[in-house]
Amino acid sequence: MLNYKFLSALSVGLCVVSLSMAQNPEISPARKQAIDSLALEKVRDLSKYISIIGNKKTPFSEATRVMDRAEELFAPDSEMGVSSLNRKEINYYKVRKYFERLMALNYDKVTISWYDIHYISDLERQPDGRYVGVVTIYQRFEGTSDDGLKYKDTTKKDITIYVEKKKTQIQGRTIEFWDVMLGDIRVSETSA
Amino acid sequence: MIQVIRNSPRFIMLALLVVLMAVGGGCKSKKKAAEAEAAAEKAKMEQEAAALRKQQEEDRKKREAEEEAAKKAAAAEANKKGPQAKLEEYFTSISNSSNEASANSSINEALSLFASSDTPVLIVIHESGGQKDYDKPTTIKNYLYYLKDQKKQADKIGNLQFDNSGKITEVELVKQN
Repeated sequence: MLNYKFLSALSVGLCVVSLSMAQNPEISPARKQAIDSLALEKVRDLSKYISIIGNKKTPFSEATRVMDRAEELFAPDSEMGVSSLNRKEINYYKVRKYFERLMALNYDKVTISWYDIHYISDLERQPDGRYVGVVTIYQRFEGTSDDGLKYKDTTKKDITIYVEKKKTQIQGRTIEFWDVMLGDIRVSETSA
Repeated sequence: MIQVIRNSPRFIMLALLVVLMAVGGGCKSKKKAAEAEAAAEKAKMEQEAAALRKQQEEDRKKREAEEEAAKKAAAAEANKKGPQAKLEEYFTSISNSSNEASANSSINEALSLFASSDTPVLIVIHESGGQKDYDKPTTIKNYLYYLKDQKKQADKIGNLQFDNSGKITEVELVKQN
């Protein structure tokens, strides 16, 4: 009788443990750290691409090539928020449209830099198996015209990060990889 | 006699005229001297600006020549080494290129080491107990352009695979944290 109760309790316990592992498989802290770093690196890569696209010295063909690479960092249909000190509303554009507008800005010199890039919400596993987190960045924008007109602002932006484990075939082998994709970039603050 | 001369208004007028001419002549010559000095100063400044421009142009040419020579030396050195060393040299050269033409030239040279510009590149982000975690696979062409755009140090070469003609068919890189 005692053995039966013990075995029943044990089997129920094992079921609970295996269900919880299936829903939240363990990732070692070192592995999680590597994935976190990879996602932050993608954000820094985007920062560099944006500064190249915005730079008036970048030839059109180069800017177009870099736009293609930058677009690959995003999940489909992602949007970028754009604010201005001269208006209250925030406009949202599909990332490709945003890059094209950035390249065509009516200034003679444009400098864009991102700094203080950090997680405000850690990557957490979702029921669908994806990991989702939020990274905040500060963007310093300066646009100058030859006639001396200058616009500058600092914008705080929140970037949603999606990380998903995927498989692909490389030379006949199945390779599992972590696919990091950037989602919407929303403006949270704009200051001079 | 002296008294006569002193009392003569004609003489006084004449003396005044001589003094005025002398003063006027002096002013004119001072103005001319100032003009000549300004012209000399301007010419000197123009000469200095031209010399500076020439110096800057020479410095730029010298820098480019040094960069080109370093690149050639690196390529010559790399030729003596194996493909991995060659590839590392190209990675460094592309990441450190100061201009687009130089970076593109290094990319084209580096691509000659590969069976195809679509040769897969796998990047290990973490490894534990024989299990490797990868970043999204890319191609060698995209990776080389990535180095050019981001100007960052390349990941460490972990493994290279070759075809029968010695061309690289797969690259495995290991991310350095």
